Amino acid sequence: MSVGSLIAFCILALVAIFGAFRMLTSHHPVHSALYLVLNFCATAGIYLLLTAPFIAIVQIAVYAGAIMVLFLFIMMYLNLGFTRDILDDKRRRWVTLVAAVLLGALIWMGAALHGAVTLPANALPPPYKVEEIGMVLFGTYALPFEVASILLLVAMMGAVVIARPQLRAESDTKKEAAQR
Amino acid sequence: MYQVPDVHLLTFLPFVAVVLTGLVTMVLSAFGTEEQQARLPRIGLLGLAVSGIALLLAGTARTNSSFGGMLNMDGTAVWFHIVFLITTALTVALAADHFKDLGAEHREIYALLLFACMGMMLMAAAGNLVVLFIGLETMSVALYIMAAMGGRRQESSNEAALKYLLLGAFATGFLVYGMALLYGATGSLAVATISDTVAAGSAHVGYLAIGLALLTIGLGFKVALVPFHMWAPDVYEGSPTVVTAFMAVGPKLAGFAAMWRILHDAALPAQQQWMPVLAVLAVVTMLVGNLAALTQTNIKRLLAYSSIAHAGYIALGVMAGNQTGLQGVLYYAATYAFLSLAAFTVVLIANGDTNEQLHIDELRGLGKRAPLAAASLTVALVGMAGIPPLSGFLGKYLLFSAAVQSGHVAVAAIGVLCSVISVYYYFRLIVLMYMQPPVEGAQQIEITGYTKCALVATLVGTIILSLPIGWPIVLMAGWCAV
Repeated sequence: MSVGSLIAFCILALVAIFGAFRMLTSHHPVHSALYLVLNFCATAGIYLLLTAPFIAIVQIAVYAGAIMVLFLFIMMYLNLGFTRDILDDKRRRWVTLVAAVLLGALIWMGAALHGAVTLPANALPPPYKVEEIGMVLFGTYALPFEVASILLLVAMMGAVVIARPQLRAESDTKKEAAQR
Repeated sequence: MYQVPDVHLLTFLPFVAVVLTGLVTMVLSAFGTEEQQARLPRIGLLGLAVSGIALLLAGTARTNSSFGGMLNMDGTAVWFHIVFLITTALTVALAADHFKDLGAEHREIYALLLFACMGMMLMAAAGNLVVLFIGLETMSVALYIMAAMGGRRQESSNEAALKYLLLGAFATGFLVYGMALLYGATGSLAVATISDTVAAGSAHVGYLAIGLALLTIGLGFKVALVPFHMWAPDVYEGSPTVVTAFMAVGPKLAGFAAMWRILHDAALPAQQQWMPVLAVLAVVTMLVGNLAALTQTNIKRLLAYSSIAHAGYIALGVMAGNQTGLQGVLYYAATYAFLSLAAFTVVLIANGDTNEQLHIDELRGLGKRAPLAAASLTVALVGMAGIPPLSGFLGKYLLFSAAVQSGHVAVAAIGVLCSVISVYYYFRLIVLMYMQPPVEGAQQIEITGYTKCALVATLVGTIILSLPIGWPIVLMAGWCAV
């Protein structure tokens, strides 16, 4: 790793950690969401450093873009107010600490194993170009790619089905009220 | 550069049939006329039957592999597919009669059941971990939604669905991390390539061990192995009973099929690593499931713990990983599907259209109130206990002897001991049904339509698997296991 990319990595990593930390400690959910966007963008930068531009773009477009807009939209729509700070709660602070240590151990384990792995012979060499990913997606992985559409369809049905009964119940109570 | 995968349409037809039927029922459940919507169960059953025929055709195909090895339609897959199709068909029949009891019109359940069935079929036929994952998620998402279709009991049903969703998503995290580590260890997601790499000894030992451990945890959640079973009783209790019936059979068996694909097909050379882990899990699962079932007074919770115990028995077969083990897993999967569905069908019948929680005392005098239902439940319970003439015995015999063959005599002994414990809580229900007077004001229950067909089908299925005329099926399981 060159010095330049090392410096870039350090800056991006610090920004990502800062974003994640402020996301947890912010008292307002909208602030939390915006700090999460910051974290996503920094992570996307790290992906770029790993010569994975496609994943970086997807990270920005899907996570920082679509999903976070959805989050913010729902927060504003439901008018969520101030939340109880997770870190103020003593017991939760300990739980969080234990979880952080465990996660750290897992990451350390992964890092310790790093370097021992040889990439498969048929794996794509970096940089991972978008058209190469497209070729693999519609060639080798055509079946799972197509079936993923069924998965999304089921999830969409779920949103409709779960949201609907409340509407029906409301209209029922309205009918009852009208009958009275 | 661009490679068109070699699609063998014949091996792919069973999936197409199920998906197309799912799409048709989905569109009809949204836009169809009343008359068309009344026909939804029949359309679903027809689609499943067509898929079954396509499966027989797929059996005649020259090759197992399809989509460049993404699908592996070997004997194991075909056997599991038949079990899944039957399970789904019986659940569709039950939903046709009993889902309206809930007071909400959730006609989408047919489409969801069919999509879940496709997911399970993909899991059983997965030749690649990506396919396995997509199949598992399709099944799980459909189940989360169905668990929430509570109707009149919306609150407990919502709780069940949310618990299931959160823990399921958590389990999926483990699963995906495990797959990533397996890729890191072997450099491939294809089951065959992973197997070759592990056999050649060129896989990274550390990544492989952690990856397999995480995958076992993830699938352990799905099949409810102890200590990953905590969700099962709550979710089984809160979900609509029709959905619980499906949940206790389909996803559990699909989870075991996936476990077989990963641990046996992909990582058999590393068996010394995962065998002790699975042995411990199986023992703990059998003990906890059976002991906890002893004290249950809610019939759905009792059956939930009983299903956990059965997961322990099947895990024995996976652990052994030998010929008898696979034969046992396949035979027990079919056996358990019929027995468990029979038990839940009777719960639905005894519950009538109230759909409240069912205390086991309400089974009192069922022998007089609904003789056919009581007889079916008796067969189901005796079968699950593993009493000789019935199919549960032969299944357990195969599983335990597989464990003995793999050198785990103590484990098999604990399994036998657990079966003996289970006799107590199964027979308690039979005593309640036949030797206790009915609750006051209880009426005769008439069983009609789809429910009667489903009940008779489970009975016939159990009897065919039990009688000597069913033994060719055992041989077939052995043939599939080759």
